[in-house]
Amino acid sequence: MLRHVGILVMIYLGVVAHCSLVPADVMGMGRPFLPAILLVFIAAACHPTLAIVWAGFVGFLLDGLSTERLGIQVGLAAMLGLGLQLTHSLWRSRSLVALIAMSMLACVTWRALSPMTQAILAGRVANPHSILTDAVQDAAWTAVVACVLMLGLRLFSNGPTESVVKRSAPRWSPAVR
Amino acid sequence: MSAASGPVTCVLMLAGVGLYFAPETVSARIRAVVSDIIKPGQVAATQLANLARAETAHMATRTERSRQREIEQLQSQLLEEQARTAGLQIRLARLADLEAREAALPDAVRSLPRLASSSLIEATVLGDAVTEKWRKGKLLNQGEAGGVRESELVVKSRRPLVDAGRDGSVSPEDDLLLGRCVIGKIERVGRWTSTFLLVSDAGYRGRAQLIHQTDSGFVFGAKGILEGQGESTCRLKGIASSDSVAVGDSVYTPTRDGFPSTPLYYGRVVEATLGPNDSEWYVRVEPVPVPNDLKDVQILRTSINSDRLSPGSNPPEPTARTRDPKDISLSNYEAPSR
Repeated sequence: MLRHVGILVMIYLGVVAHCSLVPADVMGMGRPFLPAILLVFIAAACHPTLAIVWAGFVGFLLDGLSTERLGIQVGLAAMLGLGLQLTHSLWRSRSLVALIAMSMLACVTWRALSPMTQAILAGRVANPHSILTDAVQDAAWTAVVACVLMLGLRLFSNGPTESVVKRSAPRWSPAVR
Repeated sequence: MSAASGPVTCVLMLAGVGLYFAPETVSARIRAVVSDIIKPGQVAATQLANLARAETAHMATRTERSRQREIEQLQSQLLEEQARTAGLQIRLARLADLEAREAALPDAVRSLPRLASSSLIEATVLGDAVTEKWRKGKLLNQGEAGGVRESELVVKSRRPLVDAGRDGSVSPEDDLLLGRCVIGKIERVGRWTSTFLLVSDAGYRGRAQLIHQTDSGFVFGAKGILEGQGESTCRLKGIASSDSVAVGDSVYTPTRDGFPSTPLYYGRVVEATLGPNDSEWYVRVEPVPVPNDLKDVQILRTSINSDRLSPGSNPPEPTARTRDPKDISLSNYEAPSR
């Protein structure tokens, strides 16, 4: 129960920080995308099904704060949550590098698919090259923030490391064996 | 991954599709709800960020201010040290100059006895009663009939007397000293007594020089004429407007102006004003206070070496110079050693 409250608080703070504290543009080269880091944290710390639900919740909050039509961020977040669970076996037992890499991947995917989906659904023309460039720039900043956060977590607690992974993983998962 | 992950994902995606096609009112309400949920956090986060920014700016300012203060302190210390060094360099240069001049003198001149030298003689100021009797000739045993009498100039003067005259080789203009300070000068010289003027008396005139005291020692200033005004203060004339004078400056007899080589103290500057069209300063000097019952004084006497003046005399054998029996020196000024 406490874990879920903690995750809820983490999501709330993450979304607030993303909307209020993260500048719109850092040195003209993108900005960190904190929801991607949230998804990776949730995927590492939660039961798989719950992780997807929480991912959907993150998407729902982003939908409510965006000016685009509702539903896109929920769908993308849910898909990303599923994707992280599918690949979890590959990266869960790895360390900081894997977590940062997954954050970058999640960011690129989300930041690339979101505008393209909106453009397709709205019948607009999208420039894949510029979308991908922006996505990669955002992913780079996301990696920096993820590194700082995870190092900070490691200093004060175990963080989303192996012990947490083991606790949250089901019995059949390789991490528990 | 659990078995329910797929269905949950499908449900969420369907929810997303549903939200996409939801009516505008529903969308607006959902947006309002989400906004209301997030808003308190946003406000708190913004205020925290502003507070952190203000604190950082304040710390930077404080650090900057303390750094600036430290820089200013170091700069003022540097200036003080530079001024001290400059003063020491000036003194060193003067000493080197003096040494070089003396080294350049040929041996015969260097060992030549002085033409004139100064010496101090003790004298006593005669009291009013004694002065009256002296002037009336009542103190001389032989009296006027014996042809022994004091000089008319001394007798007729109303100035105070000291008990030294031609018999003590006193000359007019010899300085009258009290300790190490000039309090006046000999005016008229009789056989056995002499009249004197105090520095503050009208009619007193003496050459003077300003000396500024700094942290690095004494700095010699402009030269002028000290005139008594018949008041408690004197007037120092001849200080050009281009020279610097300040209240508190000391006034001494000029250096290299005669004997002795060490300046003697007159008093201190109590007023120094310069008008916009004035060519010289208006300077008032407070002389050394003289006690009402002035008794024992010294007369700074200048005498000529008779050996140097005697005609047909052989050049004197080189002799070592001797110091005067009573050498006067300022606390911070020392004559260069030979």
